[in-house]
Amino acid sequence: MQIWAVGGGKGGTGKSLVSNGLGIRLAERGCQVILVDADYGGPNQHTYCGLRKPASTLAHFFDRRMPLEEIAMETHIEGLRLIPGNVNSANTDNFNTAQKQKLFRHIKQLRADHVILDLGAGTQYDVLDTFLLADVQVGVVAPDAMSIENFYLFLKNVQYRLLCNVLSWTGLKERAKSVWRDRAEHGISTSRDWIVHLRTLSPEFSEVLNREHARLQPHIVLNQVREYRQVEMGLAVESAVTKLFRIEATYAGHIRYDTDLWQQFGRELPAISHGTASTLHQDLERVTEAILDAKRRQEASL
Amino acid sequence: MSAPEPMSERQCLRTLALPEGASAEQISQAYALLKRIYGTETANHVAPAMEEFSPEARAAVLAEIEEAFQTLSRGHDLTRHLIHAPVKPLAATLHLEEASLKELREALGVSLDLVAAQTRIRLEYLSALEEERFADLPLAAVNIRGFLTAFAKHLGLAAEPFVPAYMQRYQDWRARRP
Repeated sequence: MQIWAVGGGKGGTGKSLVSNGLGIRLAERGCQVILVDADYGGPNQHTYCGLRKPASTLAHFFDRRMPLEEIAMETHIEGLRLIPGNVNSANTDNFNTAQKQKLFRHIKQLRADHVILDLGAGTQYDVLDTFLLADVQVGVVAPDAMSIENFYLFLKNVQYRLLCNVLSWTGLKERAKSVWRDRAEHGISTSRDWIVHLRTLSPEFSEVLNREHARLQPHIVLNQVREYRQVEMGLAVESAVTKLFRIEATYAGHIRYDTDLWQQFGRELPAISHGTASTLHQDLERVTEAILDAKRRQEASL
Repeated sequence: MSAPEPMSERQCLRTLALPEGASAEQISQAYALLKRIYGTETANHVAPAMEEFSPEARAAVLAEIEEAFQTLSRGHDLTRHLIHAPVKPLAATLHLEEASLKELREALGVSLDLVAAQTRIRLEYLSALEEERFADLPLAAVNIRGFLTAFAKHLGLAAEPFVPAYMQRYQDWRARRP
C-alpha cells in the first residue's frame, strides 16, 4: 500500500481538489483507494465527493475508537472510499498529537492500494510529520507570490522538523542546542553551518540525516493556472526547491483553472468526476500519470 | 590551494536539469529558462525575504548555471547556436506545405497542453486538428480556419503557406466524403 500526503502550506490552493482528483483517477485505474480528510480544521472532502451526510467521521475514531474500516464509506466512484473529517463538532481541530500519531498507525493497516491524506493548511507538527511519513509527497501551489512563498516556508518547516526528528533519534538534541547557543565560539552563523558542524560531531547523525533527507521528494502540482506564462512558474519552483533548498523535487504539471467548477458542488455527485472532456479531468489525469511515473523512477534509483 | 575541479559533463547537465544526451536546443532552452528564473528578482516565484533567496545564494546559482553552459558550449559550439539560431531552422528540415501540424509542433518542442492553455482551444480539437482527423472535428470550415490560424500563430508559424495548404486538404476530404 502507498500512502499519499497532499500538503503545501497555504490554504485555498486546492489541496482538497487535488486529493480528490488523484483519488478518482487512481480508482478509475482499478485501484482500491481510500481518501482520508485529515484537514481537521476545515474538512470538506465529503462535499467534493458529493456526499451530503457522512454517517461516521474521524471523530468516531478519536472519541469512540471506531475502526477506520467501518468509518470508510463508499462514494459514487467504484473503488474509492472516503474517511470523512469531523463535520459536526465545533472543536474539530483539537485532537492531540498522540491521537494523530495513532491515526497514522491505523491508516497503515487499511486494506487499500492507495490511501490519500488531504492535509490541512499550516505547518503544525502533525501535518509536517504526516508529510514526512508519506510514501508519495504532493505539494500543491498556486501561481502567485503568496502561495509560492508559503510553499517554500512549508518545505523549510518540513526540513526543520526532519532535522529535529533525526537529532532526537540519534540522541543529539541537547548537544545541538548547546552548539547553537555557543555558535559564535564555533564560528557558526547560519543554520547550514550548524548542520555541517553537527555532522562532524556524529557520523551516525550525518548518515541518518542523509537517508531521511533523501526520502523527502515532493511532487509539485501547480493549480489554478489561468495563463500560459504561469506554467513556467511550476518549473521555477521545482528548480528553486532543488537548487536552493536542496530537496529533490519534481514538477508533476499544472491544472488549469476551471471557471465552471463551483456549479458542480452541492449535487449528489462527485464534483469533478463527470465530463471526461473537462480540462480538470485531462489535467488531473496527466498529473496523476506524472506522479506515478516519477515515483517509479525514484524507486528504480533507490 | 589548487584550482577547483572543472564540472564534468554530467554535473553540467544536472545543473541545467537536463537528462544525459540532451540536444543542443535543449541545452540552450534550459539555460535561457534558468537565466529567467534566477536573473529576475521581481519574479513571482522568488521569495526575497527568505535567506535561501538572498542575492548571494542566487548569484552562486547563476554562476553555476553559467559555468555549466559555458563548459557544455566548449565541446559543441553552443554559443554560436544560441546567437544565430535560437529556434530550430524549421524550413530546412520540414516542408511547410507538406508537414503535418503535429510534426511542426513536435519539431519545435512545444507540448499540446501548452497550446491548449494559451489558445483556449479544447485539447481534443487540437489533437484532431493536428492529426488531420477531420471526422472528429464537429466544426464549420470557418472555425477550423480560425483554430488553425490560432494554433499556427502560437507555434510562431506564418499563416502562409501553411494554412491554405491545410485548408485545401480539408476541402479535398470534404469533397471525397459520401
